[in-house]
Amino acid sequence: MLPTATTTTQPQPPVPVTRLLGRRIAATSTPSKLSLLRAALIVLAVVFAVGGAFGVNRRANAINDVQTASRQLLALQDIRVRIVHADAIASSSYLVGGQEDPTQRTAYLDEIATAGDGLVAVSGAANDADLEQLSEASRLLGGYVGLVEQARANNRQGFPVGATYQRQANGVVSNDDPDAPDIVSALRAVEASQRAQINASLATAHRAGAWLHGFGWLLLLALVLGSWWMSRAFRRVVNVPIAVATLLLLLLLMIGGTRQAGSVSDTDGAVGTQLAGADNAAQARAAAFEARSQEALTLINRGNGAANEANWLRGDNIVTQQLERGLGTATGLSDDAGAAYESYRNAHVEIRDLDSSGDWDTAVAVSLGKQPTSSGVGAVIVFDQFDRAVGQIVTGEGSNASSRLSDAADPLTSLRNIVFLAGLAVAVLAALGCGQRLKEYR
Amino acid sequence: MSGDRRRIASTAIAIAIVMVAGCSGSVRLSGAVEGEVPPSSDPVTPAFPTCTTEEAALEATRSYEPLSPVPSPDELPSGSTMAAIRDREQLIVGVSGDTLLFGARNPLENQIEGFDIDMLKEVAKAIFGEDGESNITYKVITYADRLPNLEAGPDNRGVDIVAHTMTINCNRWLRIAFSSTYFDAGQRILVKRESGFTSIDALDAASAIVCAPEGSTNIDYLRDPDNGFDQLVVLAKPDITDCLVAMQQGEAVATTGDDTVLAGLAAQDPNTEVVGETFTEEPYGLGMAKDKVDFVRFVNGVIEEMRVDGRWGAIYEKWLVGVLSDTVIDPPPAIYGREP
Repeated sequence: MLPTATTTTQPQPPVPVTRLLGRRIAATSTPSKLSLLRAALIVLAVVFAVGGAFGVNRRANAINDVQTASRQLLALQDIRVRIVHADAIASSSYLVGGQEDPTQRTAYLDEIATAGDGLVAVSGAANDADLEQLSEASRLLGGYVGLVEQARANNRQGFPVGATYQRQANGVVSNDDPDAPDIVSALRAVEASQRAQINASLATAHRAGAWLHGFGWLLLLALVLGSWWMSRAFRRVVNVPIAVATLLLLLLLMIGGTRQAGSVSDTDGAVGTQLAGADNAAQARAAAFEARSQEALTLINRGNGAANEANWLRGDNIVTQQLERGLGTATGLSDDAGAAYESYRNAHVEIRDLDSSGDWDTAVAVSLGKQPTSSGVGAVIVFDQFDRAVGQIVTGEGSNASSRLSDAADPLTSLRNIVFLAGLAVAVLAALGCGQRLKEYR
Repeated sequence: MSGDRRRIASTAIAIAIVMVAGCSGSVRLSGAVEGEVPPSSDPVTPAFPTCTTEEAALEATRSYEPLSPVPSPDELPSGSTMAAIRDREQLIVGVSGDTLLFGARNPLENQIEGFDIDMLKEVAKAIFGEDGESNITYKVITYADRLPNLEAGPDNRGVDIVAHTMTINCNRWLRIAFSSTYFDAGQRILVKRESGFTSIDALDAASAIVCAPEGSTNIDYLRDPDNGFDQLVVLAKPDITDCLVAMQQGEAVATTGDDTVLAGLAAQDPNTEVVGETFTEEPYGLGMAKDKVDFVRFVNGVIEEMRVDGRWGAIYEKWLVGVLSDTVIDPPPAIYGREP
């Protein structure tokens, strides 16, 4: 048997699509190529006009969203501070009973009223999940006020059951039991949601920069390659309209890109420095007022305040952590706040020591500021100094953050319009440039 | 030319990457911090001794013989506990701060007052003389802190004597010493006026919600299956005043506790009343350190005089007439004969 000759056909490697397209274009006549280039440049320029403007607009909107969420966050913290401040006043007033200072009573009522109005205001801009928490906080605030009045009425008659109402009222403001709702937890949940919103908007603002650059540099590449091809095909170095379009686009990408990057870095700065400072200061302030309430409760529940002292330590720990995180750019105020808080902490330690050693009356006198500590420090004076300093930081840094965010977002509106118009101008110039060469064939 | 093309393209891409990359950042608003509480350094509560059957057979209310007559402040035996207290010009006492009628702060006068406080004032007068009550240093303590404060003693931030609605029982005698019984209390119920309930059994039959402080002997009594409260719904609260609030808020129908404490609750809410018979016995004694037998005998002498000369009756009238009974009752009889 002779071996059968077999012919094997080697499989041809598939030709890449780009190469096929290249061959097709190569086989096309120059006018057709020119028409193709013109169409491609016009399409790319229009896509850049729309996409670039969209990207800039998206960044502007994202920065505005950061600003809106920041305002909402600071408004929520203001409400929380007012409620815990009111509770600190109520707890301290309980200690003086019938000799309650009328200005303290007015301050308590003002804080509750302002917090109530604030809850209505922030609810207007809240999503469904936040709204649920805010409604819960409003409902609890109503119950809280009722309990404080019960505590006050009992206390004025000399009934110790008032202390139980005061303790219950404090539990409505804040408690450790995950099954028992409280105002602070509800507000903190909404604050967390606003922080998440700020971070998400910030990320969106960062990502939105890709639109201008992605379409812009692609268009620029197309213009450069188109110019290069034309200069080779027509043996003329410069096609003026396309060169103008290229320069215009390059200029726009450099200046607009810088402006856009400036906006986002300003936003980063506003969030990372001023807003974070205001946020930390507001949290420190709220935690300090909670601690102050716990100090009064420790004295109200005379001899039985171990749980309240544990809560004081928790509040104190939050203040310490927030101060360590930094309170923004106002270093003078920051230092004042830190020093005043340190003095208050020392006063508290002395108050606890006095109470534990049986000298309750002096402990109360020191806590209420009627008597200085052994080192001559007024507990109320230093606490008020701390409160004033962090309050100024919250207001100052909050307003700085807000105006810096406005400054960051505002120029982006005109940049958006410029990008759109410039994109259209590049389309027109590209059409003109290709049109000049096409005319030469007619 | 193709080299130029590559150069142009790569330069353009590089610029684009730099500009886009320049836009990406890592700024974030940090989350809220959670407060941390340093772990408690309190030692684990040791297991306390309990009475043997033999010890339990001895009447718990039996105390040491009273000093008779009670020596005047100038004649306190030298080296005695009382002389030491007199010399330091301070009697450190452990009391309740929220048991109305027995030991509670009067917020109007910012003073602690009540039956227990008046008993201590008499002890102070016996040590320091007529103005002796100004030598009292009050330390408000919890139920759980009563024995540890006596065990620590005045030199270790503890106290000399405790008057805190404290029931005398055998197990406590193993750790501290008691005076003779100065008040006979018992567990009763507090209900809303005109509720129709007059006994714990009636509340049980009606499957009513009854409140008592968690960890109290009162709640143990309700939960003890031997006592047969099968239908009663027990509501546990951290403190007895929480039970009054629970009643005021409609969460509970009744509260159970010592009649003395319930009287204090009823005094705070005229819509409630203490009803029914006592169903446990709670004899109260003043607590002192276990080894201060001389002080216990001195205090027993003071209480013995108070029983006889009408001071006990006056204190009862001041705080409890119209609340626990309509007239002054006889003081509880003292039993002596305990040997150190």
